Amino acid sequence: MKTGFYPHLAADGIRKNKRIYFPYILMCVVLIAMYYIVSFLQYTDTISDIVGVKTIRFTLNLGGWVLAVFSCVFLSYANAFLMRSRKKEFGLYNIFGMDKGNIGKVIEWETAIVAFISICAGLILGIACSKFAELGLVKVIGAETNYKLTVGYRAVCMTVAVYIAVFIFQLLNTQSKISTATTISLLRGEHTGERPPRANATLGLSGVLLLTLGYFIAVTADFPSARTLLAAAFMAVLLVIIGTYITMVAGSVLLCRILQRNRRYYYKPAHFVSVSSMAFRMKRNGAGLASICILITMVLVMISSTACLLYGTKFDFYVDNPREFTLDFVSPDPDTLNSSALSDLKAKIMTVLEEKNVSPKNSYGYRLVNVGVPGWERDLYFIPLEDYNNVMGTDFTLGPGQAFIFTFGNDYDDDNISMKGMEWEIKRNLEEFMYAGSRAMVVDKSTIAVIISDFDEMTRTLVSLPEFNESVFASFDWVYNFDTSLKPEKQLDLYNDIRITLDDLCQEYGFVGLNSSSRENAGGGEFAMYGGIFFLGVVLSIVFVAAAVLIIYYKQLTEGFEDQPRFETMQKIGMTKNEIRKSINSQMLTVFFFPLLLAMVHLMFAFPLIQRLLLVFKLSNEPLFLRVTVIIGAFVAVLYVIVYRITSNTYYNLVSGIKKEEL
Amino acid sequence: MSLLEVSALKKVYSTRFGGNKVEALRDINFRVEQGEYVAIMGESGSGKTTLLNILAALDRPTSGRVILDGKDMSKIKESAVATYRRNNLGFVFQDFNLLDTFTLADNIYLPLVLAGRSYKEMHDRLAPIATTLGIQKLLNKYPYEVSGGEKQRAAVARALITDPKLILADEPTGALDSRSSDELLRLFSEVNRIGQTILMVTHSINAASTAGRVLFIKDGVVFHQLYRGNSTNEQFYQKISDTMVLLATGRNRG
Repeated sequence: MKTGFYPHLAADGIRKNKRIYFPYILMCVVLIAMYYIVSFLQYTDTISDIVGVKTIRFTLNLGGWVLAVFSCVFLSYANAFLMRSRKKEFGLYNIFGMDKGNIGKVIEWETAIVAFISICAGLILGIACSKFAELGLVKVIGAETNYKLTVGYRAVCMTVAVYIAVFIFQLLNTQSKISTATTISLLRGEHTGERPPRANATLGLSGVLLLTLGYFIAVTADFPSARTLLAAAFMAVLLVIIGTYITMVAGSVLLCRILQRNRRYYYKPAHFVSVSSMAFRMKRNGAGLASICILITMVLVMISSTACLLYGTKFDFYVDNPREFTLDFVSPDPDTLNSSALSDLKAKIMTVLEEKNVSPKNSYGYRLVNVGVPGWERDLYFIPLEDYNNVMGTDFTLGPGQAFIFTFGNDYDDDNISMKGMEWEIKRNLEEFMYAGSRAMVVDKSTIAVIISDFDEMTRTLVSLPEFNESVFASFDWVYNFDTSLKPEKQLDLYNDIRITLDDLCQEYGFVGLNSSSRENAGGGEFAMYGGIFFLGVVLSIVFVAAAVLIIYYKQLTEGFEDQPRFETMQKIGMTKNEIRKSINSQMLTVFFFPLLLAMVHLMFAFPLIQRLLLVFKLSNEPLFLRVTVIIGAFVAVLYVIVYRITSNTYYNLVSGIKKEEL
Repeated sequence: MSLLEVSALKKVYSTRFGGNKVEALRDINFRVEQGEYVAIMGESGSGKTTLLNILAALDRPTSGRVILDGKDMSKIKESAVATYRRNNLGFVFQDFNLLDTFTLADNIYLPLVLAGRSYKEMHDRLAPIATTLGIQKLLNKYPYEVSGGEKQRAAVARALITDPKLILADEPTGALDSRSSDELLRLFSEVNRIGQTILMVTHSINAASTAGRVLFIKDGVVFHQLYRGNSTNEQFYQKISDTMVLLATGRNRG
């Protein structure tokens, strides 16, 4: 045979099957572009200056591998579908005298063409989008970048290498299938339908059992160490995935049987056809639906938890940094905190800022004594009532020996609180606290803020204790917070500008240290890791959503091809187009929303586990997590409906086009 | 008045770019009376499939009229055609066209389900038909679990269950072995004797010889027709066979 025959035949095969090849290639392009972007970001110089770059690179690297493995698995699935619908063609080639080797060559060429197109288009798309992705990443982790488009050569090489390997894997897979098939089985390949399966109760029960076990672990697992918790989470995920597959397969068969037995439901024009055809291919249907369900669950879990991680941290961070700047002057000596010295210091700070043409806004200052005793369960913050009222705009009153307390998320149920022989009666728990600036960074659940009116007396007693500075330690702080309404970059400049001057001031007024912080300055490093994780979550979600969409599309397409003759017969017998529509809608309501529903249930059970995992990252913000989850869930649901609408239209057009000449 | 009246029926197919015109039906005229069993014979390309498609309201004639029970079929709106077909016509196809997703019973119920009838009514209607056709024991099986003859009997049951004015059969014995064919033809005769009007398109002289009348179509016109009269199946077979020979040699001459 002359050269160019095989490439020609292969190209022709792709062109003629564009309805099934086009989405396949599109999916390859999306996967490759995503992989390129992830590996591009991994190597880009833009992030090399930020704190936590190692973590980000590690996360992205891991994400890259997840993508590669997913590509392999998913493209195998899509490829199997492709080959199924093309077996007849290969069977014909076989009859016309091509042996398996020749057919193998055609497949090689087809794979090569698809690989070439996908890799090229994927790289172009990836390079085009990588800048947006970089900007996105930089935005979430708070670094700086320029707007120049760059190509990551290392990333290109990685992408090409990985995906050539993936395509070779597909090729070997297909060829092994073709070489074991006979001509007749090839010819009939498309028609090997399954027999109506019997609902298998044992299988269904074991599926439900696995699911329950997975849910149980998710709800109850509570280990102090992150590693054990992650292991439990992994176990739960595995159980739920297997459980979902088994339950979906057995459960949907059972569901169809029940629907078929219900004569009032079954023998209705809208349900009759859809229920019977669902029952007919329920096993395959169940597997497809389970895949969709799992992909949706992954997207829901990933986006909601990573978004929470990032925005929850940001939220906490704003709680920690209530103003753009926080100055925390630290002294070992209570005398430093006398009011005339403090107002003097405040005036000096104003002068410094005025020199920089900055007028502070929303400023407030307060005194704070932090008492810590090695071996104590708790740290105590003492704050004078006077300062509290000033800052919060309240006019609470307290008698001597009385206190308000504020706890940072823990419970303190006693009526009294005592410290080294001093005791206060707790009047009530406050709901608001002037967040302690940079101090709050180290606030954990064991800290209690105690607001008292006899502040000076307390400090005097404290320093006169014989064990003061021996086994009782305290620092006497003045915390000053303010906003500048400068742009973030300028804030950073200002922060670097005034730091030295402020340090001098600090010495001058008898303080030994200044914990100054700017929200901007603290931000970058803080968010780098979570930003990276969130970003990866978004990328993987896009890929998973695309995969779910493709599964739905292929499912509808195969079923459309299969159902074509059936609907043709039914139209001859007298089924109207309107009834076809109704039948498709019935199928949609019965089956297609099931995976979405189950995904929501999965998420519900995953909720406590994710929360506990987030707690490992010192994040406990239930309302935020709930809100994010609901928003993402609603978004996915809407997307799902749109996709279903579009694909069910394709299906409708496929089955309703009656061929009149054939009677 | 006749049940079916076909007059001056013409169907011209034109190729996609309007170039060649093919006249599938030139001028078809015939009537079918209530309770008749009519076979239409003709070779491939004679236009019988086109005729059947038009009678089934699957296709529209270029000109001419088809009147079923006093109603002009070409005047039925496109949207109402499917319902009309369902309510007035029963179909028996060469390759059965049973749906493999349904049991035989459900296949038979299909037209009634589409018409929105209650399960009880469907069930009551099926019982006598199933007895006549001898498929009572097969009703819960799937099409791939029964033989070709049994499938075709189920298909006949599906055609009968709507109590149609006319049954259109397209080569009903085409995919059956001779024993199953004879059995099916016997059933057709029996159903006809109860009063069911049947119009059958066929190649098979054997099948045609069970009908009460045979129309021969050639080159888009009704070329000839034969009445059974008092002849037995065998005698009628001979007559049809002779006519076929005449048709074939006639073509050679003309």
